[in-house]
This record gives sequence, structure tokens and C-alpha cells, in this order.
Amino acid sequence: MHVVERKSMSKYRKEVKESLDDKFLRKSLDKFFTDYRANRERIFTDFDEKGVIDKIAISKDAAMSRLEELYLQFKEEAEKRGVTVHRADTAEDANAIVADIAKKNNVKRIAKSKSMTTEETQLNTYLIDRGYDVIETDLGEWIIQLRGEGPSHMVMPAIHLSRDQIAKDFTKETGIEQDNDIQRLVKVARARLRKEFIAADMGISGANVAVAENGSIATLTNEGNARLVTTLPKIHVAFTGLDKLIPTLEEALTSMLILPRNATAQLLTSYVSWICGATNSEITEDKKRQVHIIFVDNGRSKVALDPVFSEVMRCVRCGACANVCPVYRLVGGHKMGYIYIGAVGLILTYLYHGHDNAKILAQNCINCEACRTVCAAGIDLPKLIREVRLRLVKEYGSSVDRKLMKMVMGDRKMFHRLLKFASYAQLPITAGTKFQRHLPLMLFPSHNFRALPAIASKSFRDQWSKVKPKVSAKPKANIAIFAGCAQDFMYPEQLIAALKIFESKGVNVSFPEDQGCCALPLEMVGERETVKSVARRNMDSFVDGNYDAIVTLCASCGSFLKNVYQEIFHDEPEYAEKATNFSSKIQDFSSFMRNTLGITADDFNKSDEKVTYHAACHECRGLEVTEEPRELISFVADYVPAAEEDTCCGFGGTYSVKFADISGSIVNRKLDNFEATGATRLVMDCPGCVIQLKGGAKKRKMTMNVGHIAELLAENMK
Amino acid sequence: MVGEKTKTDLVALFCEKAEVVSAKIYEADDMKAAASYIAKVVLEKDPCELLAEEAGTEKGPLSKNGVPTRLDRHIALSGLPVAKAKVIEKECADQGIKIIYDGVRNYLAGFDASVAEAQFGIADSATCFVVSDDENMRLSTMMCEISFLFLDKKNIRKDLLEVASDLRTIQKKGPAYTAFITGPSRTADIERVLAIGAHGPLELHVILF
Repeated sequence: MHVVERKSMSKYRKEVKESLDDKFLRKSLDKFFTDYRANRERIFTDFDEKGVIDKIAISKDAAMSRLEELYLQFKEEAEKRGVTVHRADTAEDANAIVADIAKKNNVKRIAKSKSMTTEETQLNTYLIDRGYDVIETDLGEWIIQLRGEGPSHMVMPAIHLSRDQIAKDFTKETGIEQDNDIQRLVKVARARLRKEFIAADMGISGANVAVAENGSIATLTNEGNARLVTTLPKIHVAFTGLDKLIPTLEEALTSMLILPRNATAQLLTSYVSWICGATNSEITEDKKRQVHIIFVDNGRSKVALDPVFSEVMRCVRCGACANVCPVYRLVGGHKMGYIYIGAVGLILTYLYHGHDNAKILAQNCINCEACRTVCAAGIDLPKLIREVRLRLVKEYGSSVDRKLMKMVMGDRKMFHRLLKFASYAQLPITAGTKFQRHLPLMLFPSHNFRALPAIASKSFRDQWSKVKPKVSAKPKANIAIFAGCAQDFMYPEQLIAALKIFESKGVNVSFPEDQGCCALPLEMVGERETVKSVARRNMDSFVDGNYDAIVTLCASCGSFLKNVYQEIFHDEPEYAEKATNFSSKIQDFSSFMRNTLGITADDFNKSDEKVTYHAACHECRGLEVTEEPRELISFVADYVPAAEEDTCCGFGGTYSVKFADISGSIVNRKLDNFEATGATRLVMDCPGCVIQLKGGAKKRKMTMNVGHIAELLAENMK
Repeated sequence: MVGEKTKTDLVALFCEKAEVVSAKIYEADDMKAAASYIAKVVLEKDPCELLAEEAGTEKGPLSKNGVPTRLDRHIALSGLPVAKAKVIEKECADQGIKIIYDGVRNYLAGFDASVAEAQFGIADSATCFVVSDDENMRLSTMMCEISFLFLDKKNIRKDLLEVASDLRTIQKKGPAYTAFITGPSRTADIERVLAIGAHGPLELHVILF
């Protein structure tokens, strides 16, 4: 099987580039991305999505906390009913159990229905090496088997292939010229595989659930192939992970409410096959079918006890985290996982397939959080990916560039001195404009997809004493500003625009000058200790002021301060309390304007300027703010919605430097969508996104005015 | 006690969702009507494709997919209660359709239709809950081109969770193979284009009583 390069960043980048240049893949995944979102929305209408997802999360967590007990119960119940239950510590052990059963029963041909766990252990290769004929009967799996590839999606393994490619493969396989009519191709597979079902003397299936109360398992398929491989051959081997154990039928059925909906926007798959014990068989001597269930551990029992990673054991393998991932959309599954694909694939690669294989892959997440909002089991996937990076740093140490980043950003004064120095040093490259005219040499040529903003000649902190709003005798609110690096040093005008509004509304504003970077960029590269020291200093610098709110105009800072500070200090009592207090005060600009200040249309002059909106990831998902900014825009201008407003812009901080080709492709599609609205202005709640979208627009010579929502509002104040 | 109104609503919901999953619904007044519906559908369909070699079976003309066809029409009634089977058998005998009761393994290349009973329906997804312990019955519902499933309207439940206790009871009786069947066999593995009839039936007809 072709294995994607995952050990060298430069080779991995090259492979990613190949995907980006694959026109069919791009078109097909693009369509899938937009179709999936629409279909998912439709299928979850009138359904208590959050309620059911919470239920699954709670029951899976509880199950994993008593995994051993459930396993023993399952084994006892299943064996009572004539099934043999095996447990394998490693992938190799699991494969060997299957080979052993095959050998004892003189098996020659094996028909398989879909099982991701067998992909994980590379069971096919193991059996084929030992002389067995193994055939996949799920259409997608069979297609990739013919091609010697791995799946590029957990549910649609051949999504990367076109009908033309498949017609060629089928022509080769059948020796008969096949045209590219999809309905015909399916019938070719139907006829070809029927013979395999009949000839097989062992059937291997997966199991989507394993119910401890009565030792039953269930598989979900659309093609019905699991019903066949568990019926036609005299031996059935179910191959599954320990994570599929669940106490009761009710809990198993609850997970089936979500799995097909989330995977393929179906109410239920065509077939759900429940197997509880060994039923009859016409072709065995004792008239009983031989049924084996193999539970693969391969690290699972350890993961189940891990305080952070145990959450990943909830995964039902629906593939939704890939379906909404802007990176998957561009590069496809072969470049976004080892065996398991998508966000959960990055995590499972680390847990099941060696840290070496995960080192590079784990970097290919832009942290847009789209996966978190669709996970069938409510797994906080972005958090777990951060955890993978953290542990990789612990294990492999920091790279040289990260050591530098840690040293510089960990020391606020040094960082700020450096930025100040940069504002002079860059003159030759900006020629006094707001963009850098030529890229610094240290960047790769592919970074050329956007113009980079210049460092402001005077940072916000250096202007503070001059721009500080007048103190109101009867203040409407008493707030502090958290500036964040992008606005402090690149776009101070965005903060100054907000100050103008705050002053006119009688808000008292403070700017504690000891604040620095929020530390999100450091967290993204796994430098947790430096994150903590930066975070402690930030919290300490705000602790004395009795602020009603700490307002930030940067959604990324806001989401990080509000959601992650508490998470990282949970085991440090002094700072845990400070973090709870600090986080509770964090408010993004738009929410503060609408909900605290009660700003309405009456506060503005409404123009007929056509304005469109980019919903920053950390605004709409991180902080879950969606209504307020759109209301604010409609108060002052003609708001024209764009397609995919809440899809990531491709910035992701250092991501856009590490994976410039991907970042550039994402921003260009975003800009296409904004251009299509006919708007003359584009606003957002995050200066990071401004860097990306303003720079991208400039590069494309678009005339659209790109900026922060605060600037739009300040210009139109009454 | 479920009220009459609720029961009617569940039937309507089941029928509505059946359309979404390409399952056909036929409401039968009695067993005789059901039998003549089945016979009619089987007679009107294209001849069954022979998807594999079958010892002693004569091959008919090639289908539109270029596959040889079976000369006689066959319906498998494996696992169907005798009284119901007899009614279908009689109807079929008049029309020259052959009946398979067991030994389905002798017909693995495929046959026209099978008739089986669903114990419960699930309205939310138009799902048939089918006890499938018997190997012949399991094979007959998969190797056929058209699957007919009988369902008593009284046994239609609202959603998956409402069949949990039924499933538990059935699984308590001993080794059990139980299936939830929702529409015909399907795939979207090539370019995400829906194709009906992957490995199992090309059509599913739910006959409501």
C-alpha cells in the first residue's frame, strides 16, 4: 500500500501540493463540502441534536471508565450464546488470531465487509502475506483494494476517485471494456462480488457497537454486504475495537440516531444487522455457525484512562470531522491521516500509529474548530489536537524556530522591543505603505498569496496616552481593553475606532500595559509552559481593576482567553480561580456593543454601502457569537450575506506560514465568495482574519475595502 | 394505550419516510390481495440476472447489463408462516411462478423475489424490524431482486428507542440475528452518486396490513 510521507515536512508539503493540483479531487471535495453542510442541516431539522449528542458523550465516557468490566460482561454473555470472544493487545496479535482461526478451519477465501479497525491493523496485508485470498465487498473498499490504496475517507473510502478512473480499474479487473456510467459500474461490482460472497469460507465484519448486557453486536451498512458476509460463509469473525463496548441496547440505539445522520445525512442506513449469539447454519456439521468476536486493544485501554485523551474513545467513526474540515476539503484523506482520517485521524494516528507518524500530520490543523461543532459524540477535537502537539513537544523537544519563538514571546518586553525594531527595519520592504512590498527572504515563495501587513509605526500601547478616551463621570461601563498583538502592533487603528465609540457612549476604558500576547500561537505549537507563564502575567495585569468587562476586538484572543485559560489552569488552584474570574469578564467587541451597551440602529447613520461579513472561526464557533455582528452591520449599511461566511479564511496564525499553499487556496475561495456578493466592503471581528483577507484582496488587486467591524461602525456613528 | 389517531399518524409518517428511502408501499386489504400484488410485480419485472454460475441452471438471454438471465420466475418464502405462504403459493402456481422454501443456497446466483415478515416498523425512518434468525430467510431476502416485507400497521413504533425492549426480548430467547431494513440495498461510493441495488435487493416493497 502506498504510504504517505509523514516524516519530513518538506516531503509532506510536496505531497500536499500534489493534492492541491489534483483538479478532480478539488472539484469533488468542494462539492462534497457544500453538499454535506446543506444535507446535515436538513437531516437535523426537528431533531434534538445537542441533547442526543450530550447523551452519547455521557454514556460513552461512563462506559470507557469501566471498560474492563464491560469487556468481561460482554464476553460472558456472548460466550453463553455460543460465540468465542478474543482480546488482542496489539494489532499484530489481532491479525494473528484471525490467521489462526483461518488455519484451524482450513479457510482459503475470505470476504470482508467494512471495518476501519482492520484498516488500523492492516489485516488484509497480513492475511494475504500468509496465502489467503481476501476480498473487500464494500464497493468503495473494493475499489481501493483493486488500486492498492488506503481509504481517503472513513465512510466514503473512494471519494478521491472519478468514475473514469474506476471504469478503467473495472475494465482491468473484469477483462471487459467498461464505460463510466455509475449505475452500470455498480452492477459490474454486484455481479463480480456475488461470486466472492459465494466462494468465501470466512466472513469478516466490523462492529459499530458491542452491547455488554447481552453480548450482541451491530453493524451498519447501506449495501447489505455485512448481512451477506455474516451469513454465507460458515465462519464469521467480527473485528472491532474495545471502544465499541457500550452497556445497554438503549445506548447503542441512541448512537444509531446520530451516526447515519452525521455520516451521510441518512435517517438510518439500509441495513442494521444485530448479531446476538451463534445462529444456525446449514453448512456446518453441528448446524451452528462459528462466530468469533475479536476486540482490539492496540492502546485503547490506556487511552481510556488518560485524563485528556479518553474523550476520543467516544468516536463513532462517522467521518463528519473530515466533512467540515477546510484542510481536508483541499488535500483529501490520503494527506490528512495515516489510516483514520480527518480531525480524529490526526489524534488517532498519534495514539495508534506511532508518534513518529503523527509528528508532521498533527501540524496540519488550522484550529478553525469546525469539527468540534459537528462531532457526533461531542469530542473537543481541537483541544485534543493541541494536546497531541503538546505531548510531541514534551517527547521530541522544541524545534529551533520554536525555541526562538518561545524565548521571544515568553518575554513580553523582548517581544515588544523586537516588534518596535521591526517597524523601522521593515522600511526598505514597505516603502512607507501599509503592506510589505517584498517578502522577507526567510519566507518561502509560496507565501506570496497575500500581501503582509506592515508593523505600525506607532503601536497602540505607544499611542495609548494620546488616544485614551475621556473619563466619564457617570460611566455606562468600566472596561479594560485586551489588545492582542495584531491590533497592538499592526492595526492600532481598529482599537482606536472602538475607543471613539466607547467614549461617545460614556464607557470608561483602561489599558493595563503589562498585558502581552494571549499565548494562542504558543499553545498551537505545544509550548504549554510558556503559555502558562504568559497567561499568568496577563491575568495578573488585569487583576487589580474592578472591570465590568474585559473587551477584546480579536476573536482569536477572546476565544483563547475565555475558553482555554480555565482549561490549562484547572490543576493550579490559585490561577484556576483567577482564570475563572478573568474568563468570565472576557467579551468580544460585537457582543459588548449589542448586549452590554445596548447599541441599536438609532445610534448610527445608515448608509447604502453594500457590506459583507466574514464570521471568524473564533467568533462564531469559539465564542458562539453569530447574531450580534450581523445586526450591527445592518444598522449602518446594506448587509449582503456571502456564501460560506463561517468557513475559515485560512489564516490560523503560524499555520499560514507552515502550510502556505493550503492557506492561499482557502483565502482565494473565500475572496471569490465575497467578490460574488457585489459588496464594496468586507468586515469581521478578528484582526488575524484581516491580515489574511486584506492581504489576499490586495494581492488580487481587489478594490474591496477590508477591515474590522469597529472601523465600519465608528465611521457611521451619529 | 396508543390512540387510534396516533396510530394513523405513525402509518402516515412511515409511508412518507418510505418514499425518502425509495421503499414502495402497498396497503393490502387481505392476504389474497397481497398475493396477487406480489405475483403481478414479479411477472412485470425484468427477468432475474444470474450473477454467478449455478450448476444445472439453464441461462436465458442477456440482461441490459450483459448478464445471463434465469428462465423461470422464482419467489422465496423462507421463514414465512405456512398459512400466508400457502396463499402466495396458490396465486403463483396459477401464474407459473416457482416457489423456493429452503435450500436457498442452491439459488445464490439470484432470483426474482422473496417475501418475509417484519415484526415491527419504525415510522421515523421507514425501517422494518425483521427477525432473521433463519439462514435461509436471511439469504432469501438478500439474493432476491425484489424484497417484499409484510408489516402489520399495529406494530409501527415511533423511533429506534421504542424498539429497544422488543429487541431485548427477542435476543433473550436464544441466539438471534435481527435486522433493521430501511429501503433497498444502496451505495454512493462512486462520486457520491446514489445507486440502488448494490449487493442486495434492487427494490423493497413494504406491504401494510
